[in-house]
Amino acid sequence: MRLLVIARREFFAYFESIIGYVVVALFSALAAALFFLVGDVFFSYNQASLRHFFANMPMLIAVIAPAIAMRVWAEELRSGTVERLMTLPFSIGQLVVGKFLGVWAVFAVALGCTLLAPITVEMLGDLDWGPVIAAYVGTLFMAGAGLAICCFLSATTTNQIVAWMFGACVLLVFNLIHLLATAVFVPRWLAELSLNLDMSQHFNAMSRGVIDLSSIGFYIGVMVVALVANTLVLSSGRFR
Amino acid sequence: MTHSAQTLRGFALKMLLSTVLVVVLVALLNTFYVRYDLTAAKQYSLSSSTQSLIARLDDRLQVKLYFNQDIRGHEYLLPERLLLLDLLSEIEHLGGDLISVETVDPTADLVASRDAEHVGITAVQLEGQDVGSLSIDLLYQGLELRYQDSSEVIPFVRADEFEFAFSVRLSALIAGEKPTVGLMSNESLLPPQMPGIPRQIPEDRVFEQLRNALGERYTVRDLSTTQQAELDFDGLSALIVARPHQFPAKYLESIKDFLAAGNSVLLLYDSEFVEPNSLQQVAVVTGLESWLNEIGVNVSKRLVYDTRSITIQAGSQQIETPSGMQTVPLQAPYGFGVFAENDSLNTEHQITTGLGSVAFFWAHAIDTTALSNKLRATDLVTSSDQAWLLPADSQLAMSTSNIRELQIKAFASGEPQRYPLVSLVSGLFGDGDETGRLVVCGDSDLFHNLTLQSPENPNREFASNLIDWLSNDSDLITLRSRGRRHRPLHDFAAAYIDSHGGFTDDENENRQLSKDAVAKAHRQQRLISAANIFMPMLLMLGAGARHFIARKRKARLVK
Repeated sequence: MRLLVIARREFFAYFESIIGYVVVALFSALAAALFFLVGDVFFSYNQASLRHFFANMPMLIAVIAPAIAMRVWAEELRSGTVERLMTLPFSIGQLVVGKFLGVWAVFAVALGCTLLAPITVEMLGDLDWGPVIAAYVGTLFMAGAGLAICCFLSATTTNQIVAWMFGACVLLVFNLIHLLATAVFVPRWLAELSLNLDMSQHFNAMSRGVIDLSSIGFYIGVMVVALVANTLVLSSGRFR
Repeated sequence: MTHSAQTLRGFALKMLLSTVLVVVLVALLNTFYVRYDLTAAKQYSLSSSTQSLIARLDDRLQVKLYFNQDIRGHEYLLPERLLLLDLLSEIEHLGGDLISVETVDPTADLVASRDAEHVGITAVQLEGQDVGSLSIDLLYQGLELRYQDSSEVIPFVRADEFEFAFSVRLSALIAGEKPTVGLMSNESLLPPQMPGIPRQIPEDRVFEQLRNALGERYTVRDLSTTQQAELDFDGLSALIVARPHQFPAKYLESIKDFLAAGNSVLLLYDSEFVEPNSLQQVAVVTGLESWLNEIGVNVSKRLVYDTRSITIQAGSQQIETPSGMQTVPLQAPYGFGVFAENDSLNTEHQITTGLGSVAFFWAHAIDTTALSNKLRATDLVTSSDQAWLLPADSQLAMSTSNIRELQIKAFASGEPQRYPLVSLVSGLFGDGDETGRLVVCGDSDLFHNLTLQSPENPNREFASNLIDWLSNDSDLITLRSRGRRHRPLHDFAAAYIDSHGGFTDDENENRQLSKDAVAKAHRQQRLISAANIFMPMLLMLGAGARHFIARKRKARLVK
């Protein structure tokens, strides 16, 4: 219940500034533009499928998730409101998780704004909704993992731009690390590790309609580790 | 130890602990293969037989996909190719460390090109789509499986048959040998192979193409009834009795015992031989009539004439053209060439569910209404409901006059009806206590060399399906129709053409109509794209603007 209070506050605070609306609008517009315009993939593929729509999600999240999460702690640290926040009757862990749930909900709203795409495809052909549901679930979890990382990074700086850049770089690494597996002279264990750590690789099966519990477990795992790290960073004042 | 060092140590310890916990959780989830396939057709759910085959791997399986990436001009192939890659990815995921998948492009990689040639994977030639040119594009879509010292190849793999083709080959690789099917006929045996001399195939071996088609996955054992020797039924997974003629009683007893023991038999039955070139008929006494009647199966002596039939060249005619008189072939439907498709194929049964069509020549109707209590019949293929039975001694000539004559005869012979052409009889045969399966096919020409010589002939797939099912590989066969369902988008251009009354005889008008239709379709596509990009964005920004205006108003009121 306490978590929900913090999450609600964070969620509504986000839409108190114009940035919230701009980020959400930008996300939906970018997602649609990449799907309908880039390479004319959708119309030339000529299938009632959102496969290519979700194929862009890992990279989009790498850009948008840091933008959503950059202010979570950086702004509080910059303005000094974090000290007041600490005096509230919540533990640091609750604050971290609550704020994370708030930004996750913001992302869910942004993702909800892309629902026009499946509705359009359904109107144009016989869309199989199973893969769409699986891909939306996968996107939500992948974004959750990305947001948790970005929340943690936001707690390490007082500058939102730095937090965004840092977050985007880390998420890009998490999305491209699978390329290591294709490199020559990379030992097998390292190749396998790189594939297992890659966020987009875990999303592949879900983007085609298969929900893989191990991938969901991976995303939850990343969230847990990032949120624990976030809590620890805030607990030890020296990392601020 | 200072306070800060203690904090740092605690931080590191907690991080390490949480990371270890998460890694253990993810590793545990990875060991349990829990995946939920939400696609409507369960496209990515591998069959239990494939899963159990992969579980039986005790060595590394290397899968090499020969796949050219550049298929510009043939984008219609993309959905199938994507599905193929997805299925391979599912198999790789299921196999874990034991399966590795490598994709190579023989059009861009010389080594891959040589490898493809070496293993027998060749490119399919596609006609180029460039207007005004005759370019031919190459399409590689072959698969090579390597396991221990053996390898199997699928020269051209299609997504809809992928899992079946893959599993059958994997099964062969693991087992080290193919299952055996017996082919019983009164054809002469092959002469022994002499080193350095090509083997001559005797002319009477009219089921050689069937043997070749089945030979890809089965060892076909020739059981010639012309020999006096005892026939070896040991180890047979199924038996084909092809065009029996004066069937010796002792072999009939063997078949009865085979069925009673719970085995499977495919009977390709004909009451006459038709010589394909002269169309001369020779009456056949199968020697199986009384046994079939005894179990309640009656194969009509009369021939099925169907309005849904194969189109043949029925002569030619001279026509006057601007460049002079020309001879053009005359095409006509040949009623004795029954073309079974759509409602003629039993969509409930695994053998016929994924089939597109089956073509028959001079087929006979099968009646199973008098079947004994212990047996049950399922019609697999029927004629259309516009079919008649004509006397067996009808003229078979493929001339326009005879075709017309046959049509008149058929229409005058009474009300049309649907006739079963292939029926499955299953149950307890004789005194047996195991369920045997007998498929009676009222035509043997559907598997004749002349019919099966084209690799694309759908009867080949029917033959494979029949034997796969009869050989108890029925769990694999359900996977064949995978991915056949396409979900095309609304065709704006076609709708535009329809709304303008369709194409006419005027070529210029048609060209203009096509041009307008394409332009209209592009406009519609641009409109859809713009709506999807700008509508949610404007709505969100509108909501933001509304919120800020309301806040400003409220602030003013408070002031």
